[in-house]
Amino acid sequence: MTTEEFNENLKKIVKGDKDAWRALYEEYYAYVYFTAYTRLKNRQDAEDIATDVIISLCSASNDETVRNPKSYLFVLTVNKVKNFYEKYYSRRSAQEIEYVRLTDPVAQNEQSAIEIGDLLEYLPQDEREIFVNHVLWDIPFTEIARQEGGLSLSSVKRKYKHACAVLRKLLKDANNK
Amino acid sequence: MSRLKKQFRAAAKREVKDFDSWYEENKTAIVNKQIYASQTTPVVKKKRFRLAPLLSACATVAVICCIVFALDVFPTVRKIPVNDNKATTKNPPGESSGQEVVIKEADFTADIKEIYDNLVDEMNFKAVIDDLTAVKTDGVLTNFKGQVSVNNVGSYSIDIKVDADESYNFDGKFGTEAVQPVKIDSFNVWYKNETVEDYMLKLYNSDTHGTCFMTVRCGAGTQNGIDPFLEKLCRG
Repeated sequence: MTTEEFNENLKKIVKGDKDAWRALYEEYYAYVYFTAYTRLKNRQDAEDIATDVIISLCSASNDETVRNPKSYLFVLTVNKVKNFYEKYYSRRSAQEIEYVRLTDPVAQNEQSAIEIGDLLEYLPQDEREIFVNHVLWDIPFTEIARQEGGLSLSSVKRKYKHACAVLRKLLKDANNK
Repeated sequence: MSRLKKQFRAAAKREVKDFDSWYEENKTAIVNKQIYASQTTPVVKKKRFRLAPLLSACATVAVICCIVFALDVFPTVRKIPVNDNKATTKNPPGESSGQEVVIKEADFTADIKEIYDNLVDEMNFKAVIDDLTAVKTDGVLTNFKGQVSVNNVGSYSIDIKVDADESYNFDGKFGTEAVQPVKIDSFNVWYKNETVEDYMLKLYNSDTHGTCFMTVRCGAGTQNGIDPFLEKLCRG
């Protein structure tokens, strides 16, 4: 979706154009969902955030024209995740929010297609975020290094390569089964 | 785009709910948001004129000019011979004998006369040193006070204090404690509105040449007009 189409769709959704909603949803919902999921590690919460972000695009049409839809949505998502985390997660105990990693997601999904969300669980948190930010949002490594704070460019590239290698192996194993 | 990237993007889109079920689930929230958005007046952001960077730049230029002026002029002025009316008793360093000696105008203007005479000829504006007097308090400091006029801009009161004894301590003697100084090289610089219509710039320098303290006072709106004059003096 081009920037012009994105801005056009923003105007249409205020008028209740369902096709515009569909276009925005199908283009960005998954990206927003996986970005929230890699940070919150909870599918239901990630769905809530993603829905909130997509619906809030209605208000975006009142602001100035969005110049970079992907950057706009990425920042919106990350901010909503931060607010959500502060609002709900800070009150929970560490045990409650501890990430329950599946022992073998590939084995558990033998009957169905392997899910990307499960594969991401094999990656450490920082590699998962780097991978999702670069693959889904096309954020350059230099920008990721700046956001991650303290990581050098070469570290970011190394972590990304490692994440790719792990995921490739997992996908290969899943396909062989 | 790499194969893994394509594969991951496609899988990510496959794994989320289809649009129709999502739309039905969130229809109420979507309609509410649409109603709210359609009723809200679009925000037109006005570009605000930012005065702070301009003022900051003007202040910086003024401060730099004054510093260079102080560096260039004071060492020359301090070489001026003073009348030999020294007290016969020697005072401890940094302490005044209380004896004040008026320095002859001919003595101290000789060095700077050449500079400000050229101003009239070379510059588009006319800057005139209306009045300048120097009083040396033995064992303490030499105080130059004067008035400089720049045509069509305004009049500036200049007060320059140069230590006569290196051990004399300027700290706390010129009412600058209330304002936090900015350190630029070896200078402490205070710049503030003394009253609504009165600007004051103070410099305090302690370097190898000794110590000097300068106050430039002027009315509101004329604080930048001294710049060309100071710049000229600096170039000498």
